Formats: sequence, C-alpha cells, structure tokens
Amino acid sequence: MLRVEELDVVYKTGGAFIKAVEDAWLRINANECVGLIGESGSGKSTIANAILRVLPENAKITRGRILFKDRNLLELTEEEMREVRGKMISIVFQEPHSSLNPVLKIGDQILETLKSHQPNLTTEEAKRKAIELLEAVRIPDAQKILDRYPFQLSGGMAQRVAIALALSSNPSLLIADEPTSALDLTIQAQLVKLLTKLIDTFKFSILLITHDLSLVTNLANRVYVMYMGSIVEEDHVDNLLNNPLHPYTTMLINAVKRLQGTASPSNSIPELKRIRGLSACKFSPRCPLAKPICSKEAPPYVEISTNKKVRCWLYT
Amino acid sequence: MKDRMLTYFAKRIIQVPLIVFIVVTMGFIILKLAPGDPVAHFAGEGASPEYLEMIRRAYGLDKPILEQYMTYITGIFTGNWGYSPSFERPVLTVIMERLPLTLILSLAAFILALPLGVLLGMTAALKRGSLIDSFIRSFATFFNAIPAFIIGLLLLFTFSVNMRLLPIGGFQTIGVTYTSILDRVIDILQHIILPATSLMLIWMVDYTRVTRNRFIEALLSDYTRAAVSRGIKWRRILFKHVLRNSILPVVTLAGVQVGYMLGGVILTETVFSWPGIGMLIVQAVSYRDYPLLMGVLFISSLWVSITNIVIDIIYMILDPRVRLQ
Amino acid sequence: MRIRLNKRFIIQSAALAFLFFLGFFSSIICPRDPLKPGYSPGLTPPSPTFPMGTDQLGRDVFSWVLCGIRVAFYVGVTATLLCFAIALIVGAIAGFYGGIIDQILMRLTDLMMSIPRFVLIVVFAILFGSNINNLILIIGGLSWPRLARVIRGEVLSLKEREFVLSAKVIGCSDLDILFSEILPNTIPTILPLLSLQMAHSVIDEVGISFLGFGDPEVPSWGRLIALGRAAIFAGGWWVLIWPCIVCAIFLLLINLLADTLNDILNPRTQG
Repeated sequence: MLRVEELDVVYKTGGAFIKAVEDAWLRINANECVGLIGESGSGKSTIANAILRVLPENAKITRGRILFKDRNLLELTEEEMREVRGKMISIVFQEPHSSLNPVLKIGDQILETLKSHQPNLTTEEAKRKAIELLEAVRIPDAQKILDRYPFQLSGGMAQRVAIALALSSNPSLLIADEPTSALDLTIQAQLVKLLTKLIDTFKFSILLITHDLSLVTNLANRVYVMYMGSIVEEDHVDNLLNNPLHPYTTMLINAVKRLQGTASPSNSIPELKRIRGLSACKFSPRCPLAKPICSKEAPPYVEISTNKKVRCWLYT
Repeated sequence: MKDRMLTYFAKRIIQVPLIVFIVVTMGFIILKLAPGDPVAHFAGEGASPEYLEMIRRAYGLDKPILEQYMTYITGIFTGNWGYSPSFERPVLTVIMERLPLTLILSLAAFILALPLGVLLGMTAALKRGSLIDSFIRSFATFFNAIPAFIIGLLLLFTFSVNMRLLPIGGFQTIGVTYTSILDRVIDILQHIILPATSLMLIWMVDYTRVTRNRFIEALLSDYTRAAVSRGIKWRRILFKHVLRNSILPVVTLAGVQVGYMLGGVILTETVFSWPGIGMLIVQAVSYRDYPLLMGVLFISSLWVSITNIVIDIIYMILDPRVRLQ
Repeated sequence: MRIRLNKRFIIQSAALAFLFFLGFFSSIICPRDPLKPGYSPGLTPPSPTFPMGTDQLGRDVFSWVLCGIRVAFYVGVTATLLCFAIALIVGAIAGFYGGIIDQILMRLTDLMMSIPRFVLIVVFAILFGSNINNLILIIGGLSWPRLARVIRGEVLSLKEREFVLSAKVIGCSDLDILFSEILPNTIPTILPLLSLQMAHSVIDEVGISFLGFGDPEVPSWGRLIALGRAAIFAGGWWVLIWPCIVCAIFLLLINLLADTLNDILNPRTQG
C-alpha cells in the first residue's frame, strides 16, 4: 500500500546541508503494523513528515518516490495532497499538547477536521461522530470533553484526542511518531492496548516510529531499523529479536536485553563520532566487526529473503 | 468559574476610584509643594497684593489646606472640578469641550493603525526572508524610532506649506459657513488627515513587529503542522489557528496604546494646532492653571484605568487559559 | 558572555561613536555660539558661511544642530542611567524578596504607569524648573516603572533556577546571589531596553523643548525645531529640516543598535 523508495531528505541549517535521510526504502501493506526504530536524530521523524509532506521549510526531498496505492505522493499538487492528509494517511505526533491548538476547544478541533473531509456533514452529525470517536479512544465523559481546552487535559488524554483526530476520517495508514515517548510508562501501556483495539475496530495500518524496542515488540509485525539516516535492517519482529543481522541491531537488542538481564556478554555501543560526507558505511566507526571496505564504500541494501533485508558488508 | 471572573472584575472596578483618588491626591500635594505661586503667575507682574489676595479668596486658596483638599475631592465626585482661570470657565466644561476632539483624532488614527499594522506584520511573516519582509521591517524600524511630532512636522511641511494641499492646522477652517454637512465633513477631513497619519504611522508599526514575530512562531509551531497533517485547508489554518494564536499580544498592545492616548497626542496636537486635550495641557501648564491641570490629571488616570479593565476583559474572552486558571 | 563581532554591530556602533565624538568635541568644532543671535540679519538660507543657514534671529543653525548632539547624548545617557538605577533597585528587590515588599512596589509601579508619562514630565518641568539637569532628573525619575517591571520579571524567573538554588545551598548571601548570579543573566534582556530608553529620554527632552518648556540656556534640538515650525511659513525650511534630519538619524542609530544588540544577545532559533 505504501512504498517509500530511494528517499533522500536534506536539511539546510545555518548554511550547511545535512542529509537527514539517505536511500530509505519502506513498505507497508494493508492491515499491517510496521515499526521503525532508531535513536534520536536517526531521521525517523523526517521520514514520517516526508510521507505527508509536512516537512519544515528548510528541508527538501531531493530524491526518491513515495508511492501510496501506486500514486507518487511527491508528484501531487498541494490540493491533491490535502485530500491525502487526514483522509488516507494520518499522523500522530510525539508531544500531545503541542499538536493541539491551545486556544480552541477540543470539540471545535474535531469538528473542523471532520468537516474538512466531509463538508456536507451537519453540525449535529459531526458532533455525534466526534463523541463516537472520543469514546472509541476510551475518553470518559466525551460530551464534556468537547467543550474543554487542551490545557485542561492530561498528557495521556490529549494524546488520545490526537489519535481520535487522526482517525476521524478513516485513514488507511496511521503514522505514529513516538506516540508514547512524552508519557508515563503506565499511560504508555494503556495506549498500546488502545492502539491494538483500534486497529481491530477501524482496520488501518500503522507505521510505528519509536526508539522503544518494547513498544515495537508489543505491536508490530515487521520492523525497520534506522541508523543515522539510513535503513540498515528490515525483518519480522521475532526474527529480528532472536536473529539480528546488522551489528547495530545486535547491539541495540543486546542493550535492551542487558536492562532486562538477558544479555550476552559483549561490549556496549561505543561513543558516537560524527563522520562527514564520506560515502562509507555510517556505522563503521562504531562497528566492532568493521572491515576495510566499510570505511570506503557504503554497503547496498540487499534482500536476504522475503521481508528480510540488510545494509551491511557482512552479508553482501 | 463565572463568579470567580465576576469577583476578579469587581475587585478591579473598585480599584479604579482608589487609584484615581490616590493620583488626584498626589497631584494635589505636588502642586501645593511646587515652588512658585500660581496666583502671582496668573495675575501677572506688577499685580498689587490686594489683587492677589482677591484672587486667592475667589479660588478658596486662603482656606486651610485640608479644607481645600476636602472641597476639591468632594467636588470631583459631584461634577464640580473647579474653575479654570485661564479659560474663565468651569474645568469640567473646558475638558468636555476638548476631549471629543482628541478622541476623534486618536480614534481615526487607531482604526487604521491596528488593522494595517497587523496586516503588514502578517505579510512580513508569510513572506519572511524575502525583499518584502525586509522592506516592511525597515519601514517598521524607521517609524518606531522617529517620534510622531517630527513625522507630523515633516508632513506639515511637505503637504501644507510646500504643496499647499492641506490646511496648516486647526480643526476646521475658521470663519467659513458651510453649505452642507458634506462640506463640513470634507473640511474636517482635510484638517484631520495629516495629524491622524502621523499618529497612525507611529502606532501601526508597533503592531507590525509584534504580529510578525508571533505569527512566525505560530506558523512554525507544532499545532500548525498538525493541522496541515489533518488535511485542513491552508486558508482556514491561517486565520483560525495561526492568527488566533497571534492576536493576544496585539490586544495587550492596543490596550497600552489606547491607555496612553490622552498623553501621547500632546505634541502632535501642538504641531497641528488641533484643539484637543493635548493642547489643553500645554496651555494649562503655560498659564499655571492648576485647577485645569488637576482636572486633566483626573481624567487621564481615569481613562487609563478604565482602558486597562476593558483590555483585561477582552483578553479573558480571547484566551481560555487565562479564563479558566 | 561573548558579543559576537557582528558586522552590523560594528557599523552601527561606529556610526554612533562618530556622532558621540562630534558631540564631545562640539565645543571645539563649533564655528559659532549656537544660542547667540545676530550672526546674520535674519533668516538666511544655507550658504558656504552658514552651511545650514540661520534662524529668524540670525543664529547659526549648523552650530545649533552640532551642539545639540552633545545635549542629546548628555540627556540620553544620564537620564537612562538614573532610570536604570531606580528600576534596578525597585525591580530586583521586588522580584527577589517577593511578598509584601513586592506587592507594595508593584502597586507603586502600577500607580505611576496609570498616568501618561509625558503629561507628568511636562507638569513637573514647569513646576520644578526646567534647567537641563532638572529635566534629566524628571525624565529619569518618571521612566523607571516599565523597566522595573521587566527586571522584576527576570529576577522572578531566574530566582527559581537551579544555579541560584545551588548558590544558596553553598551559603552565598542574598546580595551575592543577586549580583553575581541573577543580575548578570538579566543583561541580555535589559541591555537593548536600556538603549531604547536612551532614545525615549532624548525624545522626551526634545518634545519638552519643542513645547517651550525646556532649558533656554541649552541648544536643544527641540527648541530649534520649534523655531523651525515658525520659520517654514516664512520660507525658512532649513531651520526645520536640518535638526529633524540629524535628530532622526540619531534616533534611528540608537534603535538599530538596540535591535542589533537584541539579535546578538537573544538569538532567535528561527526566523
């Protein structure tokens, strides 16, 4: 359903150009939950924003295709894109309160979103739908909440509203960009349960972007691992956990296992040293298994088997 | 929640007479303490002591200070604001004659300044980094730096003296009979256009700066991006989301400007001989017309206090966060 | 805290410094006594002898404008310093100690802000004498409320910050904390405001002199402009235009410098 191919995104900050995303390939099918994991700054959110073309002004997509149901989103006009946003693909952001307009009532914001995609909806119909949505995301006293303002809601509630907004026009794909990172652990667990239920009810696919491995294991079928702008591995979740291919993935999983007490005795992920502009494997400075070729040439993204790809000289 | 708002405003409204009271008292004290004898100044040089004494008695200045004070204070609240020696009319009358003129001038300037200023700010924000933005910002910096009366003088020089397009001052042409209301209106318009423009230019740029900054903030904010991601029309986002969030400091600014209206126009009124409160203050000070000064002090502080309350009300209506905390 | 050597900052400061030196040495450079009439029979247009012409009483406009620079700097700097001193005391004490002191000081500030400032300045000028130093006292003494508010706000927010709390824990005295921890961190906000206050003080003085309530012994631009207002009706544009231009340049420079300072000290993340 959604295919990202060869995507490059470049940011311009203070005169310098930084490639935030390089040669990204993603695939999300219908009714699938796909995870995208990586550290902060690895470019995960950039991909999310690129898909919906809501990148900040200083960012540009310099290469690639984003095919949604066989239409290249990058070739659409702004008006056509508007049809896609919210109605076919939606996004939920990390900070629940900053994605809601602070001076408008919750009800007004939901109604506004509903009416943008269904202009013929009457206010009563829209109100009823809004209450339905709020109840679907398990918000108590939905009627009252309509008249509240975002600052009157807790983080967890605000995030549910954000999810309700995102699902209001029945999109086929929901992108969740670090949906739980700003919330307490207990709320996180609730939200995971909620999302699982919602997928059953509304039947959409999710692209779950996070740095939290446990979230991915709980929700996703397949997973992409991202490092410094490049996708380095792709696999089914269970496979990945038990049989990681890329050294970075191995270390990542090891780090989590260490916290859980099930790690294997190997070294921790070494310090990050930035490399500029060398067309080499970005992970090589930190890679314990690096070979000479790793610092000379960037490895290609190769398919090992179905839904299993890796970008590493070890496997090419 | 409603009654919390009501108690808040009740408190504010009660404070007004208190503030005005204190201001008037302080004014009274200062005028009494100031060096120089207003009566002597008013009577002119070479006035005989008997004449001075007569004036003093006429104005009740020979009575003990406390009594003068009480008479004055009670007078203020009963509409007797004293008698103006230089105008030879009750202070209240004089002020009420002049006040509308200042209000007309200020209002004319204000009505144009706010929307134009905000519009310029919005344009600069939407086109930030471009030539238009730089131009607007330079424009704003320029008129922010130069005082209104200098602008007024330059306008006066160009249009009235050099080009003879517009009258050199005053409120309307003297000694003319109007054939119709329209003629009168046109005449007044011709007189008001230059002073109002000077004030407008100065006031306008305050809004431009503030609007531009807040607008940019709002444009780049997360909720704007989120709204776009939900597929809402850009036009709607601009007005319903971005503008709504940028408008609050404009309201505060408007309040400040309106509050200082009475005092801020002194110089401009003088330049254009506009017979409003501003020129009144100048005259009162020149003639040491203390009763008139006190009256002006009273009405100025009343005006500022009331304006502040009105602005607070408007702010509360616009910002739910203030309302419900 | 480093002030990055910004091209704009250098140019603007240099220009202002140039004006400052003009004013500083004005008594030496000045060709004639600005306030002395009779250098020419009356209104004379600009010429090689009188680069900016003379006014109705034969006073040299150029000398007046030049010496006016010094007046402007004098008024601007001293009034602002006075204003700053008062605002600092009031604002810092109110913000730091809070409680009843804060309430009282803020009520006082509110009270002072409820009367249009220029009205007060004019009234005081008349009442207490309008010689230049009095004017400075009046202007400085009536301009502090707004600045005090800002200082108070800054102190309030900085007071709760961790580095202050850690200083307290170490056992620094209140005054120590105030002066070495809190106040230096208010400079980025305060400095541009001080430059603006300098511009406002000059505008106040020019305004008062324009109205005729200024110091008659001092060659203030305001008085010249007032003369200019009368002169334009007799064709003497130079009496009005020259002081207006120079005054405008002066004010513009200060404002630009204030903006540049603000950009350097308080860099915005985007825009």
